Amino acid sequence: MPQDRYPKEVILKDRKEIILKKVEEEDLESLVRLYQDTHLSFRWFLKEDPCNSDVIRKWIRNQEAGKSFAILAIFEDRVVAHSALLLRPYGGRRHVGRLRIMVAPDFTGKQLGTWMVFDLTKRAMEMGLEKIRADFVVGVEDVAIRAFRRMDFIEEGRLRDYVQDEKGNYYDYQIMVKQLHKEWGDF
Amino acid sequence: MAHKHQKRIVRVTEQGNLTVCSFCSPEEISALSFRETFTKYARYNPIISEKETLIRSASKTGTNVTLAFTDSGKIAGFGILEYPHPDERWVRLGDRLMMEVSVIEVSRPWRSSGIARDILRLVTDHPLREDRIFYMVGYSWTWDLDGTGIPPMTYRDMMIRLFSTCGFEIFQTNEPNIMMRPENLFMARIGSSITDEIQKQFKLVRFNLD
Repeated sequence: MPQDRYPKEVILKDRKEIILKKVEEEDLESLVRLYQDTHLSFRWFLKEDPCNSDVIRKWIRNQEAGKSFAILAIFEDRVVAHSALLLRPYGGRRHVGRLRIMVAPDFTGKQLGTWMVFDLTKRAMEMGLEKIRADFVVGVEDVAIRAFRRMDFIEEGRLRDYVQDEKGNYYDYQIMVKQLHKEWGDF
Repeated sequence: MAHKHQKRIVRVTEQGNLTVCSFCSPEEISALSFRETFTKYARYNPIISEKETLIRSASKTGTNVTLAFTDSGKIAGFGILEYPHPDERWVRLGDRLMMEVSVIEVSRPWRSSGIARDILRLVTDHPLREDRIFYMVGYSWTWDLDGTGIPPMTYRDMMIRLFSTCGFEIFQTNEPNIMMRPENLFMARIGSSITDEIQKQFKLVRFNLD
């Protein structure tokens, strides 16, 4: 089965060897630690608090229930990134997967995020999805927006002043979509 | 005279006998007919559509051209194991250390009868197989998706299953052509005599960090 083709090894720009693996129950603590070790400025805009182990437990159960597919990046026993494809098993959005990614700040800029998005894109195609959606906070996640643009994600919509931080500042919310093609065109 | 490492398998199919033969010489290839079985289609062109290309490959030292042909001498499938082009990153690993299964093709009427597996088995049955890293790249734009009627990811799975039978494994690489499409594929089989040092180097070459 394609989802069993883990772990996978990738080498980052700084030659660090990373293992990509599927998230499993046993990863709960190390996943919570990834988020706890990440400064609030990188995660305040998330919809749930992943520093809470109950949240992570729920995410893992969602995967077991087929509502998501998530992978981890491990460097020397430490979880350094987490990415998930959130699925809608029912209804009019079954053909769309939503992608979420968190890379530890000391592992950004090394193409780790690119590898994980690339891997989940493959997985999405294997699952027969037609689109992947990724949302970002403008002015906070601009590096990610640029990176996703280079991975053929298109800016499809922007919600003005949609996200608010603890100080009351508003930020635009950028929706990006990547179209997955089942076959080559006949041009 | 036949190559000293040449091997043959005869497979009985519903459409008649097929002989799969490795290390075919230019003379042996010349004696067979090609054109009738490898027609070009509107949305699919076989990577090799001329017998001369097979003959040229067979004349190179170390290259293994394996053919499947009918009793009447029609080529129904072929595979080539050869050293990579000097422009490819894989040559940086060392002198003639890597060899590519550069093509494996079965004519449409002969598909689904296990011929590809026989061809792959013989094309990788090379005397230097334990001293080399064999690899393959799967580019979806060369696949006959129209003829098989399956989506790219399913075709990819089929390729993985096929090459896994000969000890190939998927490896990640940032080779730009492979990265171009998510369904593209890179697989390799590392010979048992390949040292840890070369395996480490192989890892760096795969990510262009050597």
